[in-house]
Amino acid sequence: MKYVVAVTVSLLLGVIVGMMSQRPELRRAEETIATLEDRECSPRRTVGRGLAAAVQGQPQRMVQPDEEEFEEEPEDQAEPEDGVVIELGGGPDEEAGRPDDDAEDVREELDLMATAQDLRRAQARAALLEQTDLDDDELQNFDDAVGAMNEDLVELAGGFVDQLEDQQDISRKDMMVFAADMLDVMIVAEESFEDTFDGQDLDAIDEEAIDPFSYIAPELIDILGELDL
Amino acid sequence: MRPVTSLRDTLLVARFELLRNLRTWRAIALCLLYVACTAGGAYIFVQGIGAMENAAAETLGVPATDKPGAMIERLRERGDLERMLGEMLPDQPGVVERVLDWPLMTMFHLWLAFILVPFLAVTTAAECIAVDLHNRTVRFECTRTGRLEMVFGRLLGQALLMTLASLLAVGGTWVVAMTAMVGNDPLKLLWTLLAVTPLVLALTLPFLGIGAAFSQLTSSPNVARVFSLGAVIASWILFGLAFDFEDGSWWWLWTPIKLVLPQAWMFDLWKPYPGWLMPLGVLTLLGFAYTAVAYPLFLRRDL
Repeated sequence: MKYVVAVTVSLLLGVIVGMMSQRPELRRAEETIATLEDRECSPRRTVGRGLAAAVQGQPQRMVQPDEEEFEEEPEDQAEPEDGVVIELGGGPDEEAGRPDDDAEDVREELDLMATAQDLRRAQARAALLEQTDLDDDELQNFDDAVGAMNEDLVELAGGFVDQLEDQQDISRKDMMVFAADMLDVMIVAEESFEDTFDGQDLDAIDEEAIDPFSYIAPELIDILGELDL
Repeated sequence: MRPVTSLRDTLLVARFELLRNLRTWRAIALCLLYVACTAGGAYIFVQGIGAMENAAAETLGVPATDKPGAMIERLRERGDLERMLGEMLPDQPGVVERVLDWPLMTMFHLWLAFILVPFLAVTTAAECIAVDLHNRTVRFECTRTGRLEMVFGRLLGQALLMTLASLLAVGGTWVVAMTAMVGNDPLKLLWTLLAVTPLVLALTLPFLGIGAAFSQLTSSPNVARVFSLGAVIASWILFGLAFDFEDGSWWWLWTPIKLVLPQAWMFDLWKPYPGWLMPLGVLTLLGFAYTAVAYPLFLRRDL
């Protein structure tokens, strides 16, 4: 009998001690859930950086880690007819749950992306010069083609950002049209590059050295990044 | 001796010292050593940049290059190197901005020269009088001119020799930068390398003075060289101690010691114009002062 009592008391003690040690963890988990529930589900917070990553030739970055936060649609929000609609807020101050240091982080991330793109451009051009024997005219043609491509891309991106500011929302179709326009510009640039490198041994040149994505101006990232700020 | 005659004799001794060094292996050895050190250092620097750039290129998905420099030059133009340079340069206003305007190789060249020059300067200056004391030929020279003119003429001759070596070192660094690296404007690189050469020479003078001082004290060139090199090492140790303890309770001891150490003024040479004028003047005076410290003993010496 005394064994049964001892086992029962031990079991009860174990349960009580176990519950006590779990309480702080549960409290922290509840606080985390509450924080996440309070946070606004706004994919707009990452759309600029996602687009910037895509034009850098990293479309996989369109799926940001933050996107996991938006996978579940709020139950009271009806699905729009033309697919995903990304709500656009005002400035950083207007967005609830959006502290200033968050905007600072976004700005830093955009600066890093712009620097990385600038370095890509410099390195790709250095590799191109090393791997080809372009004369001054050919190099000028290439630089002109890059310049024209970036001019068109900046104009497109500026128009897209203005459109979003006016409409306050963006549909999947808008995104696809923008992406298609960008690709058109890149294809034209690619054709110009091919004309420039007509006399060159293309097999001897690294693919990335003549990839139009390597030569995108960092200003484009700054423009698209404005969507996240 | 009248001052004008004295100055003329000093210049004549300096000219003779330079020509004698050029005739013998000493100038060739010094120049070769200095050029090899600076050019070799520059090449290692370029290789280091290349390794970093190619690692970054792999991460960014662009091709690696054989000749580095495109990325680092871009970072410099963007001003993104400011923080890194801030860690590598003296913490004084305007220094980083001044250096950001230079090609990166110029900054490396100046740092390397500041580290190399003290050792090279004392090595060559330690021989300037001791050799002639050893073979006793100095007595004939001193029948034609005064000992003061002879000592400072030799010092000046060594300074001219170091000027020649520094200019050749500039050439070596420039050639490495232009052949093993991309992104350097040849004229700007050459101009900035030449523009920092007076700063290097200013730091050379006190160490030439240390070498000349020991050269007056002993007739053995090797002993003079060993003591001079020991003095350079001691000066770095003293500078480190003074740097650490000048704010403590023994400040009254360390502050004056620091003021007479060339290293304490070396950092001020990085300042933008006219900030570097004062250290340049002080270092020149230190050069003469160090030489003059041993002069009373040399004056009484039986040649």
